[in-house]
Amino acid sequence: MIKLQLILQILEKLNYLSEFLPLLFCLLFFKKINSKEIKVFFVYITFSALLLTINLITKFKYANIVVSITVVFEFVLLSMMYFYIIKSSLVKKLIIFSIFLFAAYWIYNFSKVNLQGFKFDFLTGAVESLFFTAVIICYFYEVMQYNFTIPLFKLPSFWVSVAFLIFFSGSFFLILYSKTNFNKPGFRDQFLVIISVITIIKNILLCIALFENKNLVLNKDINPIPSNLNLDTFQPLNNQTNF
Amino acid sequence: MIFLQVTTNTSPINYVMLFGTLAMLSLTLGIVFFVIFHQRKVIRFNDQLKKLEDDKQQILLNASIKFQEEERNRIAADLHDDVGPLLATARLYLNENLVNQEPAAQLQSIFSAKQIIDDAIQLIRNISHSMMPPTLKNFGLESAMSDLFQKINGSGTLNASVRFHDYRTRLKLEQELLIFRIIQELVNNIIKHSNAGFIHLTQNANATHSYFRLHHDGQGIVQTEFDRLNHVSTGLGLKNIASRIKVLNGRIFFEIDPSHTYYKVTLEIPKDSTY
Repeated sequence: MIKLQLILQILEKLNYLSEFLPLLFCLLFFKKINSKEIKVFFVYITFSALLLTINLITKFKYANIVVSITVVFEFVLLSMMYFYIIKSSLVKKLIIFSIFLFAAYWIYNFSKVNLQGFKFDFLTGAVESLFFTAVIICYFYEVMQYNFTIPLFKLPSFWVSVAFLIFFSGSFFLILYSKTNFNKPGFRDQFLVIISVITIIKNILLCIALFENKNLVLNKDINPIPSNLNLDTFQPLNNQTNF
Repeated sequence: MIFLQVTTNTSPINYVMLFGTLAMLSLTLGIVFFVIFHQRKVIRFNDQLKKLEDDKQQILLNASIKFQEEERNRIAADLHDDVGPLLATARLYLNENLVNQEPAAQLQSIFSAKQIIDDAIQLIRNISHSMMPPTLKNFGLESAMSDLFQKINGSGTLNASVRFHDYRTRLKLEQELLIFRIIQELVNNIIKHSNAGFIHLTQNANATHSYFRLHHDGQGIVQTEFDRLNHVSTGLGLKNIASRIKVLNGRIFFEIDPSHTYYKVTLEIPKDSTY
């Protein structure tokens, strides 16, 4: 029993520590954060780490408020990131529309959050999971259609998408199931084990994404043609008379 | 992000939640692996296509280089075998003994040397004309084609005719030269291999493209045969045609008419080609 509690506590600590890993990678490769989507991603990572720090400092005293704020910012920032990643204008419009819809729902729902005791908002979490699962599948569909040159595992957006797809699809069933079982004894521990494992996997994959982003930027910097060569004036055929 | 803390309660493992989550994760991983493998397959297929295209480009480039070398050899041979001896002979007439000769003999030598130099000039002119037909340069493709077809017609073995329907604005000289060379090569092939009784060239145009069509009643080839011959390493003529078409950003179609009485070769050349 004590061992189980110890394992759970270690897992919990690992979960929290893993939340800081992507931020650490972001800071390590800060100069390589060039594209808009990675900038938004950086904001999201920083924001997540900040909220977790607040929770740890206040010992989860205001956890329900923090979770509530986290959900809406997570939704907005991840939506913005996919707004920049996805090329389809229809999906972009849907994302913008969803941000406003979700924000409106959140404002309405925020008034009902119990500031004293913890009250997990299952519906918001489920909607968020479902929405991002759909958006990421759209992204995969787009990548399958248009990307024929760069292998997927070299794209940071691919690793970010795999991370969030695993996280949201993994937590979707949990959230749905938790609605009726959340207050049962011991349920939270099992919930914690699963969610911790998924979160750790997600954060490792996000670190891989940041690492690949660094490689991608490095590859872009390599120019095999010397810049001092004037190749534009080369006209191979214009002055020839015999072909 | 979901925050939870460890409680002190314990309970049996909830298998529904565990397997439900595992099922969702398996589904997710299935999607991810499907996307990865599909994309790898597409990339591999694209690489193969690119390799085929590169091979084709290489064959065309080799053909083009070989053709240039042959052309240079021909010009070198013409200069060496024809112009060289003529000038050497002229020099013989104008040797050091000329001043010691009788005035009549001197006049005869000078006249002969002049004749030989005129021949040399004519030869050089012919070589130059074979490189860039003066009619094409001065009067355009329509006149150059008419000139070429008149010469063929004049031989009496083949009935050749030209009809330009819409050639009010000339293409660029470089484009015209390439089209002239393509048609010249096609006509040459028809004369050499097809045993045709007639060749007819028609030209027409729309807002964006110029079209040139050759009809003949001999033995010809169709598109599949052209594509096949274009990929084999032997034979230069068709590869030169293909590389010139590529330079022009145009297309070429080899067809046979439904009644199987004559063959058609159609060139489609964009008017605003960047060439």
